[in-house]
Amino acid sequence: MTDTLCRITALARLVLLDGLRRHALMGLIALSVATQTGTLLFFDFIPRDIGRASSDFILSMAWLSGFIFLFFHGVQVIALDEERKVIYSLLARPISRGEYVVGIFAGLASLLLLLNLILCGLGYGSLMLIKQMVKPVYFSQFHLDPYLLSWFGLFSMELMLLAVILLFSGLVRGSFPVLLISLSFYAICSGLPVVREAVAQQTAQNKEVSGLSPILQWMTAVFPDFDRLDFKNMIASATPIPDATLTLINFGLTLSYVAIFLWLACIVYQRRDLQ
Amino acid sequence: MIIFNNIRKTYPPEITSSPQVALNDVSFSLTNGQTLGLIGANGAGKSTCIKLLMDFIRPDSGTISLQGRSPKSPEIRKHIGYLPELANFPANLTALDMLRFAGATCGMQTAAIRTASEKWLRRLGLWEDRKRPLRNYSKGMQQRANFAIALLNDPELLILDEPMSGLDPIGRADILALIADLKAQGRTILFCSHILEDVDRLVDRVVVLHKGQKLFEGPPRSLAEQQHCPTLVEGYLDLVQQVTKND
Amino acid sequence: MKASLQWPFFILLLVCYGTLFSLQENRFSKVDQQLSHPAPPKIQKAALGYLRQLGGEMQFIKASVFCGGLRPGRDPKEYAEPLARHFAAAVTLHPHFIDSYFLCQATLPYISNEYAKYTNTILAEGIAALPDNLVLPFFAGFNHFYFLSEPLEAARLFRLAAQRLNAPPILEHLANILTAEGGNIHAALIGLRNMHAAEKDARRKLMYAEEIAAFEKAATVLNAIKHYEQTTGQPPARLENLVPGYLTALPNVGPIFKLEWQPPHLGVIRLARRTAAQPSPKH
Repeated sequence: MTDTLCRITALARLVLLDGLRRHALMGLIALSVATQTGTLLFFDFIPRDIGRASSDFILSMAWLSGFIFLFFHGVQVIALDEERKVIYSLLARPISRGEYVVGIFAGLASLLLLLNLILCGLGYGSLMLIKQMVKPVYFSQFHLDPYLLSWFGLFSMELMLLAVILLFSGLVRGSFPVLLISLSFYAICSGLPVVREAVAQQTAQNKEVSGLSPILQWMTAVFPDFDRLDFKNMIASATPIPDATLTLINFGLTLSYVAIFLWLACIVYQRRDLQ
Repeated sequence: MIIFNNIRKTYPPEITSSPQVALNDVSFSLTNGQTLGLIGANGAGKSTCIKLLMDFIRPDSGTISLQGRSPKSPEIRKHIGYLPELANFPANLTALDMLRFAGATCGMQTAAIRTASEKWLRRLGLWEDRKRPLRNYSKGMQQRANFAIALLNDPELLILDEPMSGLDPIGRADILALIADLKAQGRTILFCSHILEDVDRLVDRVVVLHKGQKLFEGPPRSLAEQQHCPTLVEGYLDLVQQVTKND
Repeated sequence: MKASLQWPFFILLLVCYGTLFSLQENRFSKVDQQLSHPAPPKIQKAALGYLRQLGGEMQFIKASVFCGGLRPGRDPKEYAEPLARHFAAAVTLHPHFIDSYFLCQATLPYISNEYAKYTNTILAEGIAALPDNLVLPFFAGFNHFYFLSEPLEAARLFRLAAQRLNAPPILEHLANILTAEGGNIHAALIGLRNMHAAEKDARRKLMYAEEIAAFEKAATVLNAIKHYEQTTGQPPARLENLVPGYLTALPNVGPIFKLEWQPPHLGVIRLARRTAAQPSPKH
């Protein structure tokens, strides 16, 4: 077990180092920092609900940064490209394919965590600055717990997407197809709650049970509803944070979702030809 | 050390191509301390053999044994040093990063990794450039870096895929000397190369592949004698011509 | 191209571009700013995902910048529809963002009654999403009262606002006044009596007592109307028809109120609501 952890850690460290030295990633961090600082300009357009708008902006920009990281850098690192056979250099070592999958995941997750930590700290600073600059009535509340919970939710979403990208990269060859399929996956995750809501409204209106509702519910198990991990609204308002049980359920589900997809990715990688 | 038994491998069809038979009932073996050369034209199946040995791909039928174990077992790669044809590293890493990774996966202690890294980097003339990103290395330097990584854990078996590919004459001579040195140390070496003169110089036995079929297995001079030719090169060319005519 | 001609040609190109750019800027500055229709809110919600709140805020910013740049005298009906759609999109994407409701209330209802109704559908989203906010039901109630002349609906919303946290008593009071204006005099009486019982301020208590007295008088008229209907099978054409058979005399509910009879509804109208200086709210 220790040896396995050593190998996974060694690979994760490699991925982390490679990422930290990439100019493109540094550029992404710099861009994210600049957009976070843009909150100080953005809030100028908001007459009243400044606290809410500022925290929305900060977390949205962080999400966008994470999104770009996942779909560009992450896909590039993971995908099996004809041109870049880095995987051969790595698997030539006594590391199993399952350890490879977990190691890559751990390395990219570490990079994501670093990105989120930087932006979380910077975001907090920006919000405190804005709070000082405006009248209390426009930014009356700021709760640290929901703020940290929001970041945790954001990071959880990113980990879920990362696990999915890993699985797709095992099933499909080439970074561009993996990118397209992953984007489609995310689009379905975003759209499914809207469809469910529309179907529920129609069912309520027509007062008849729709066969579509259970299908959509099961689809949500595969295409998760990321809104359930979105706690932005609670940062600058009196909305109470969800109770501990619900929080545990949400994050437990995230963990098990990530574990399942990683498991599937390991199985796929173990069986397929790396060609 | 290596038993490659009745291996069949067909690459599945793609949208623009039909299924491709890469290896058709190929068998060969390599005992401890021997050097085996895989030779053949492009598309003969040499790289396929190496990928099968490294467990990058799996055979459709047949068995492969490395020191009595299946290539699927990652543990076996502690005893293998693999040199890929094309150097592929994560672009922003240094030779030291890759060596540290290679050593960690083999369960080496940090001090041992440090000592072995220095030894091989100095031997291969890369010590001064150890902290430069690998993307800034020349082709020859990258090949030597690959060698250092392959040799770090002192493997018993070396699998070298086109070790002289893209090297200048000085680089080639250096690598040839290194391989000869390793052979003299009693390591088992399997390598494939297009440069038949190097193969002739280094190997104990040679396997000739042509369009996925094994045409010959034995010492290089036996091939020359069999084809009534003075050298391995001419013997190989004659054999391939013969087979092509029969087809 | 000869080396000697390259730079002059490039400068000529720049001059040409600059001239055309100035002409374009000049033309577009004379044209009124247009606001395009946003993509359907549900599509935006699906597309934006985690960014939907920011999307809502952007819709608000777009609408507010547009409103801020309107040329005085421009016909609101030109831009009312896309503006309304922007607000609808903003509140669908971010129902908790209060500025959208405030700006909507500040702009749309004044255009026409139709848009006052539309504003109320938008405010309904906010009322559901922000259960602690009393301003939004107040806005909606105001629209029903001032623009749509629906006092009962206004009263319902003011009562809703009155039930929210830190609501001032004026909201409950307004609800009762408008209930009476809408014809539900008995309910207004009950409400006022409760307020009178709970009130500690002497002056306000006196005010409630005066209003209760006026409503009690109106209630006698209401009872007389019911009696008239039972007897004749239809409501009286005028309140004067109730005298002397059903009422000895028509009560005087002034100076604060007056009775308004629009068969079959009897309303108690607050006289201080409109003065000569204020225009009629009906468009």
